[in-house]
Amino acid sequence: MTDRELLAREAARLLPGGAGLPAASELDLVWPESLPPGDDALLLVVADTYYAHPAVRAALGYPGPRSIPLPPLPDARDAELEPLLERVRARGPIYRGAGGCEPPQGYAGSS
Amino acid sequence: MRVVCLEQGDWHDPADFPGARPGYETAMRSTWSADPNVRGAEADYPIAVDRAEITPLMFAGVGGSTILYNADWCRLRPSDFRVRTLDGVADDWPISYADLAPHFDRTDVEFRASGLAGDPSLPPTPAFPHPPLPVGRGGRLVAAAHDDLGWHWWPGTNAIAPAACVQWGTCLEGCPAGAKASADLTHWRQAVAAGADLRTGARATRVVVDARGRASGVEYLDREGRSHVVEATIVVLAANGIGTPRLLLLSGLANRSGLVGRRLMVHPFATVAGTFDEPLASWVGHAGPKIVSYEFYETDAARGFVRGAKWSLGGIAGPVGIALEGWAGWGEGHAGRMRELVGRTMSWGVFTEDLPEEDNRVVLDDVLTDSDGLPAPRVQYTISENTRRMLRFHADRAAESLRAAGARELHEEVPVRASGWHLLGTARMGDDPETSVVDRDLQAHDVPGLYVADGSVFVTSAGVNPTSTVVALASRLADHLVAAA
Repeated sequence: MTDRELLAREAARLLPGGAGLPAASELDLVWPESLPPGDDALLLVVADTYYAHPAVRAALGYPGPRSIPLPPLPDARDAELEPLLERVRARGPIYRGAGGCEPPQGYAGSS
Repeated sequence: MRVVCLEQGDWHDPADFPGARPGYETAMRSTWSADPNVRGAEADYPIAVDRAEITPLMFAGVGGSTILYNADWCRLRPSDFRVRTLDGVADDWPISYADLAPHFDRTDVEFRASGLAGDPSLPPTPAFPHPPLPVGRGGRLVAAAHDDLGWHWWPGTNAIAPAACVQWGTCLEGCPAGAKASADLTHWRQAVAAGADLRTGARATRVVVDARGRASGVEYLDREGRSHVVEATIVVLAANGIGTPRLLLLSGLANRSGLVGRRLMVHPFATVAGTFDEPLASWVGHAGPKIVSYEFYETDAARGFVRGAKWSLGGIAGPVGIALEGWAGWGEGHAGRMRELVGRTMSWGVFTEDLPEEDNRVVLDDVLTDSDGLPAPRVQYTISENTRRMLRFHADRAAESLRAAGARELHEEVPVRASGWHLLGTARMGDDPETSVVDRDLQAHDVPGLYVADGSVFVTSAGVNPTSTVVALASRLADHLVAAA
């Protein structure tokens, strides 16, 4: 059995589909000629090939890595965190002073 | 001043990295693995790890392991330099936080840090060059939970330039956009333009000393196996906490203390992942921390151990990693479980401080060699009881955090075996030549003119990602060398 035949057989067994996802055996998956080095290489190639297929990604709602420019920073969606940050600040320094770097209010933790 | 750098690897262009291409999840676990034993590239040397509880990770190439780091950017805290004084364990550093503070400030700029100043878990700092990257829906959920718990949290600081970042989310496999501050981009291109002679494919084989015992150069092999010697008045080793002691041991130098290669620290790492009901698009954005927590960083003896750990919250990205974790099983039911997990899972990464132990060490292997026939390093490393207790405590608290945020399902890995990104302590600094390898200026006690500028010089490991401190130490050393020239 070639590596490709092995991969196709294992994919059909491991990934039978359901819950709206297609079965691996229903897809035109392109298998590499040989397995890469490393532990779990078979599982890795089976999963990577299956979950890279557009039909699987569409069904899962996962677009895959893609280029998305950042919004202007700081992110407006994080503005709701400002009152929470203010409470973190209000609790005061939590680092332990040493070597001449002492927190202004002293260290409140135990040791 | 004329500078020659010997680099065993090559240059890499951002277009080389696999994150923007199909099949990247296979590449990141094989040809682009951070484990040199898996990657097996010509530039790599193998490492004997059968007696190591944590697998060491690194990259050989211009920029070194910053090529494959997550750019999680944080300073050591003041207490990290005074562990003996404060907690009665290990040793104090011969320098303090205050000595490094101006260099932290400088390297925060040079490494394009994006973050929010004013974090009360460390002394006041200047504003970062860039605002923090988006915290994301998952980060906001967990921040709100910490607010309810009264626990510290803060937006993560990442060495990523926002103008270039397009959120591939594959920072750990090399940034395809060149937004992540790896040293090839932040320093080496400029250094070469300024006249530095960077020789790639050059494998250092030993440090050469003159008749008086002063460093006088480095011998190296090129890719064709030809031997060369670069003469120098100053030699600086920056080959990480395994490569540097290996080279010192190969050279038979700087080991009056017997500590070369000993006291290896690697930050045993734990992950606790929580899955939420609502979709979080957890694959979007930088791979480094959305938020961090130092709530349990400083020692509290009531916990049954000393020292602590920093937490970084990240999103679990693609489905392949989740599938390989086994959380969804295989066969019938796999698809339904993946629907529940993908895009809805956030994970705390816990970086624990392990204390130096002389039996945790790097030695030269008796059998294994690199492709040039040089003895490969052997890593012997066991997690200490103090660290085991710390791992357990922190994993339990991280689970508490995620449950409070609404996670309905938790998965932990304590410790993560393949997590030895941080290779520290194997050529420690100190004032006493009998108990340290380099002095406070990072010069070898035994070999004038020989310096070390990597994590090997750490006296203790702290419990934070070390790159910011490694480069701050390098900045301080550069000032010292220029002033002395």
